[in-house]
Amino acid sequence: MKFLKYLWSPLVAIALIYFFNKPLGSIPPLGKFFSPFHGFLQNTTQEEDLSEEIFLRGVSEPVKVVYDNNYVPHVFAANENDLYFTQGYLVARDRLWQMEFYTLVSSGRLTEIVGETAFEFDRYNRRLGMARAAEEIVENQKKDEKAWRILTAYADGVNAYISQLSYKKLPVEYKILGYRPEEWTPLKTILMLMNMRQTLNGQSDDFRLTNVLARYGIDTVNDLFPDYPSVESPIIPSGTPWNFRPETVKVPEVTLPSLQKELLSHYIDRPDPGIGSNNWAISGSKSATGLPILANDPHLGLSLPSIWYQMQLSAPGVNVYGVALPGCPGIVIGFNKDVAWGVTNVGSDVMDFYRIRFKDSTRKEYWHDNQWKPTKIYIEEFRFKNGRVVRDTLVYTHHGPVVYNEDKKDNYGKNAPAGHAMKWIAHYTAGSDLSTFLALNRARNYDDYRKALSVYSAPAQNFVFASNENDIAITVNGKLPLKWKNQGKFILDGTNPEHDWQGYIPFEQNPTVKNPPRGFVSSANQFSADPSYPYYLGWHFAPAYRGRRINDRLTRLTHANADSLRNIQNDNYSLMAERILPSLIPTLEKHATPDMLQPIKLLKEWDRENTASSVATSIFETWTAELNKWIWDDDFPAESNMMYPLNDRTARLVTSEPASKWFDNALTADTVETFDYIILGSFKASLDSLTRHYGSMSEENWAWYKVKNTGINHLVPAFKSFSRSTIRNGGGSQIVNATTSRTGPSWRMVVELDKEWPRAYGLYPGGQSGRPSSKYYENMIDDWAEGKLNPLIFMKTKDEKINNHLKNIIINPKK
Amino acid sequence: MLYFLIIILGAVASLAGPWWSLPLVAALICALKARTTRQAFGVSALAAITLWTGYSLILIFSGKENLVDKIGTLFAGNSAVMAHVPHLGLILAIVTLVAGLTTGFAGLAGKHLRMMLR
Repeated sequence: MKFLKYLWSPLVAIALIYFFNKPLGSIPPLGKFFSPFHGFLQNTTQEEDLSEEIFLRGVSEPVKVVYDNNYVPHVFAANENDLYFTQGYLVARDRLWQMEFYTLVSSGRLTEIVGETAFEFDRYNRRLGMARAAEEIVENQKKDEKAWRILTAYADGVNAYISQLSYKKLPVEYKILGYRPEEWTPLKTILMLMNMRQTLNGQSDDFRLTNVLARYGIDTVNDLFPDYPSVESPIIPSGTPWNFRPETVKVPEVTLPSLQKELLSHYIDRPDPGIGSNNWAISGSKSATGLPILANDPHLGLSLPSIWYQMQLSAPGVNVYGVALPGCPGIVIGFNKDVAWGVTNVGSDVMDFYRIRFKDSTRKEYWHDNQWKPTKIYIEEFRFKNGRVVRDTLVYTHHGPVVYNEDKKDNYGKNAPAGHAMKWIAHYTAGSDLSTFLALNRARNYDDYRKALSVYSAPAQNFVFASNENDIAITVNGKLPLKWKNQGKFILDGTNPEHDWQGYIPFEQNPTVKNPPRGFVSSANQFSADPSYPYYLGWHFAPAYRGRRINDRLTRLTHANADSLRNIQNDNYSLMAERILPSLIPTLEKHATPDMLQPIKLLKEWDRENTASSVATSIFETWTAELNKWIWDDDFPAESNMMYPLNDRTARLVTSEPASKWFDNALTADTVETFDYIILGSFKASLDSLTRHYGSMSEENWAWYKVKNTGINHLVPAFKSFSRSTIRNGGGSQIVNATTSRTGPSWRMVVELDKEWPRAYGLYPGGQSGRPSSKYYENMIDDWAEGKLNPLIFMKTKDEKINNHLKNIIINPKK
Repeated sequence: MLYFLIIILGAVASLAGPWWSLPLVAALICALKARTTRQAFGVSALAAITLWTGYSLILIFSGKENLVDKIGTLFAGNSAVMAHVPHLGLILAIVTLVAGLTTGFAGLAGKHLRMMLR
């Protein structure tokens, strides 16, 4: 009895401690999390963690780090190992949670930290085979002594930081989600890069277009889905000579797929509207200084913490400034004393699907080249947060992985047909993308630039370049598959060896131009070259509007300085409106009802600038999206897994083919809808939709920034309070300042080359610190929204006195 | 006396050990020093609440960084009722609940164990 009388309270105490020590569903362990000695409040005390002097095992000589008051570290090391070790250490200090998160995404391991909800997403990422390819890349990198040394020094630096972390110092996301960081390895760096391959090269329309082909036949495809737009301004200016003898590409007898019904039953999301990056360089003939100026604004999904991290890296043989990817050594976009470079994505077709004929349901053998060939089978193991383990079988053919075996509604990847193997450039494991960036960091001139590019594979990028020797250049670079015309426009035949990729375009023959007569080079994800280029790269690229607008403005430019180029980066002019509005407004005016008069007047008076406050822009953008649906959705309904014709074709239809049969709504058998009917109906519908969502028309209610609603979410979107919403800025998807609700310029940079020392400007929509409570978490967003740039402090020596100095730290070797 | 002992030794233990060092310290001290079970529970709970809310308030108002609103928003979730609770109040309520309950019962447990062994 005595026991019972006294033992209940210890039991209650232990039970309470146990209860508060465990996560409750998605709620973190309350004891740990709310203890002021351990929990999230400790995360608000870390700014001064960086004492003036730290001792680390891993550096061989003291490393000096100068922080400027934008919290950008300028690292001065005595050798390369110390340099990349310190880079790893500092980036981890500010961005550890984020960089590990990316690797968990690309290796399909999110279930381990968030549980079952991530399963289909993880499963898709595993089935893409990214982790397996990353492991092979790591094996290849081991053979490259220099790259491997840098990868391991970087990993050691990250681990030096991780090993210092007690629970109370963990980034707050780890505390909320209840897990701890793993050891960093070179594999994780490659997984981070793999993430970029998927983001930039991981889309395909083959499947949707095959469905269009099955439904309407090749003539309609040729009419509505042409291989080159009616208006274009390609990256390599037309007329640039191709000074090489092209490789021969064998064209098979049968190029179109046999059409199968099962495909049509597959549900697919609409393709994302393109996210647009820009870069250009003007030669000395156009600049005030007589030397080149280079600009780059790569666009990506906007996130917090930001995808980029600004730094200066200096050691004997290298002194470079720019932005790094958290988790990856070196600078990806930047400049040094002599050169500057930047990238935009190449939208070439580098993901194809092959219809596989398996011998039986075991999928152990498949038919190819008139024989049964063995598949490779892997078992993927998923660990859920609650400890549950799920296994999934993954089948590989020589093309690549079979992304889904069967057509299930909850399959995450709507791009991928069932029973079809994927051939994807992201599985290419030779070459070294990392070495390209490390060599660009050290480049002195055009020859160094070309040499650096020669080992790059994916994701293919338009590498723009400028040097203080007055050279400018742009190269469409990466492994570009050697294809017959339209290979991979549709699903390919996995039994026919003639449908296999035939190799890659030799590096020397990738589209490139140096010092063109027009005095500038540029890219905006549009077609790499006009049809005179001897190879087929893909049938669609980003719409030409941004590229044309940039080229128009650069053509007119004289005596330019950095601010002139900053101004072009912020260009909000809508060439699309200029192209199609004159054909639409007369129809509207002819049939206008009284409530339409004011909106029509606004459109007529509109200067076609997509500014933040513009009401006309809200009307135009809402309307063109609606109009697109009104024209095409009856013929290519969303449920049918087809796709709409592209922007250029639609523009051609509304401007010059008003009598086209496509205006008739195929769903109404007894009436024939006309151009006028579609224009008017869609206009009315968009006004109704705007009124419904934003209230009655007024300058305040219908301001473009509200309708566009650009937000920058935390990488875990459920962490709403770590995110920013409804940012007041202009832009639009076909605008040079390409900003949509979730995408936008992820880094803006302008560099004036100079014989002595370059002057550079830049910023990104976020801040250097990944800690949501830090004042450097999102401190650049407002300036970014206004289109400003910060002067970038590029130090000549470690002892140079700089303005806007914050503090110095010294990292000493620990004995 | 008991109150200050728990706060001081609890703080020292919490700096070095895990979050449940505080209830552990309270249990030990109450086993040795508490006169009644009521005192063991009440003083332990009060000391723990003082220590945790006190240190929390210092961290919150030291003026460096604000994480209270962000975490408060996360914990309030999408609930309309919770949206009206001030974030600081919400955070301090949880802190009070966790510290008070665990340490109060731990103090009581210390006293009870002592009584059992006597």
